[in-house]
Amino acid sequence: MKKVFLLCSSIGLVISLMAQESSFRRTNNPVMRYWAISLGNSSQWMYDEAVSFVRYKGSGMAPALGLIKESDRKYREFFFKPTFNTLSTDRSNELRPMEVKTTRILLDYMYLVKIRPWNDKIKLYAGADFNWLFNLKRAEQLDNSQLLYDYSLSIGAAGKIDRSVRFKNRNCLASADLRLPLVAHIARPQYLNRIEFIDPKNDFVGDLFRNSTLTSFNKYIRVITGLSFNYPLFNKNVLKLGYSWDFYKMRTINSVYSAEHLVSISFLSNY
Amino acid sequence: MKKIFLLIPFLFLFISCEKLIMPKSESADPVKVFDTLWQTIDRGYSFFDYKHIDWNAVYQTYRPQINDNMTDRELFAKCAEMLRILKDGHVNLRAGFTTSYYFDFYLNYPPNFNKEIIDRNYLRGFEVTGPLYHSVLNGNIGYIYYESFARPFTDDQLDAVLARFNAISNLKGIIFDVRDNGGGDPANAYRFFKRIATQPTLLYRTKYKNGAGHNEFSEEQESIIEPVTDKIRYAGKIAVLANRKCYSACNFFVAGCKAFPQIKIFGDQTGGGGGQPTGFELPNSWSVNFSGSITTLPNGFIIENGVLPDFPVSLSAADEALGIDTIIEAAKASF
Repeated sequence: MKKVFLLCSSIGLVISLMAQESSFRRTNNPVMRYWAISLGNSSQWMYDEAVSFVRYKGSGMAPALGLIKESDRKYREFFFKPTFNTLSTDRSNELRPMEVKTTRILLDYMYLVKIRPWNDKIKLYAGADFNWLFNLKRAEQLDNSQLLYDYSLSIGAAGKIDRSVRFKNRNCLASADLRLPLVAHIARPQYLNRIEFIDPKNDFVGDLFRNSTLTSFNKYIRVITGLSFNYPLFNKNVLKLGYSWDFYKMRTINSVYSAEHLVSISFLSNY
Repeated sequence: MKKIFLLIPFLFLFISCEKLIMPKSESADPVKVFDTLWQTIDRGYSFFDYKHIDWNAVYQTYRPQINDNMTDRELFAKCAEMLRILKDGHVNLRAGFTTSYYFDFYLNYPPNFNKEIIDRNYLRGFEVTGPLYHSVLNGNIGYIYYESFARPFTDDQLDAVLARFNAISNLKGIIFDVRDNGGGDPANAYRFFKRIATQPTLLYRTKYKNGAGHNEFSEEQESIIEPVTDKIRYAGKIAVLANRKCYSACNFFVAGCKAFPQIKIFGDQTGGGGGQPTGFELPNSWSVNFSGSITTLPNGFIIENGVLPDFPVSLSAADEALGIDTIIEAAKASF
């Protein structure tokens, strides 16, 4: 998996760099739009009281697709980020492999407005972030309790700082952003992760939403931070190197802590 | 300004340290493993009251026998011994090098089943459709042997079997033999019940543990079978054969049969297994399974320790010597 990731990243990087031009082309269009395609490595940590009282960690592929639209006054981005990981612990062994396979689907929409021109090089944005997360986890060692999930649909505050940086004779952009969900609709498995196999009309999806709750910081704490470096390529396209950290804690009948470190390389195609 | 901007990445790196926020892994020392096991059962097991078990007293008995110098095997032996107090086949401790089981629900009783006799004298010339072995006895009685609810059958497979029997003009009835069936997925039972139900039929009610207290349960939920009309149905008499090795999903199947007047149960009491098994992992990589629900028949009878037959019949040694299955013969005679 690591080799595939490194190979894809290298190919993407080489193609992008070979095709680069020496500077941004000036455009009369004040709105810039990008398709973003991204490949990354997701490193996850988990402490899920519905599985055990042990920390799990692991890493896996993290592709992503997105749309970015920015003007002089606004910045909007939408991303679809699926990640597939197998988490384990340092106590796992061949006889009792402690494994949790995760499929984590993230939809994120950030809407920001430039709040003040700090100076020529630094721009500040503030706005809102809408985030949908479904993290399906499978711990086969738990038999009938093996299916777990963390679900959240949240709205919160978001901010971003951009700074122009001159790098290799190019006008690059270094950014840092922060998202803090304020209100969220969350769901976690029922007590003992039960799925009602005994019920002939067993409805897993229905049970998921019946077990959901609208909440705020008291039950759902989440912080998403990001750092990125945008390097201009040919024809207003951009190569973006990014790092993000996404941490959440859901306090339900069995609490869960989850953190993801995502290192990615993205190609932003201007259209 | 430059300094402020340079500080931001460091600030982010500081925030991005989940190790400061997440609880640490629990110790995998024997005492902690034992405590976690005891606590997991204490918070999740559903039959303390029904079985009159004082779990706190169990802790007082076993905890002094645990120390951090024990080997894995010594710890496992003590934990397994403690779990056997629950007398529950759905309770297993899985350590990798071995797994603890409770099999007394059938080992302490006569088997009431001899597969050799079935193979030689009742399934001779059988047809097999998926996991269903079937034959026609005396030219007018359908016989199905289903050995495991873990082997699912499809609607089409059930259609094939029922069509075969429905084509017999003078069919007296069907014998559905689930002896020695250790369970699996109850959905297979529901697939069968839908073919014989003539109206929405209440099979049983289930309440699930939904909190740590011994009496914290969800509201009772009804398991209701809706008849299907677009698939092959069977409207005649049915004899279901059970024994003590009929456990878990098989126990639920036999319990569900009680809701249908056209079904009569022959043989022995089922082995039980009336709680939905659930699992949890211990800090040393072991895992434990245990019952997390209580199911009752519509009349309030708890099925955890088995379901009684309508016609108790035992396999007689004399019949067995002659290659005769006493229970099948009793079922045949009832049609």
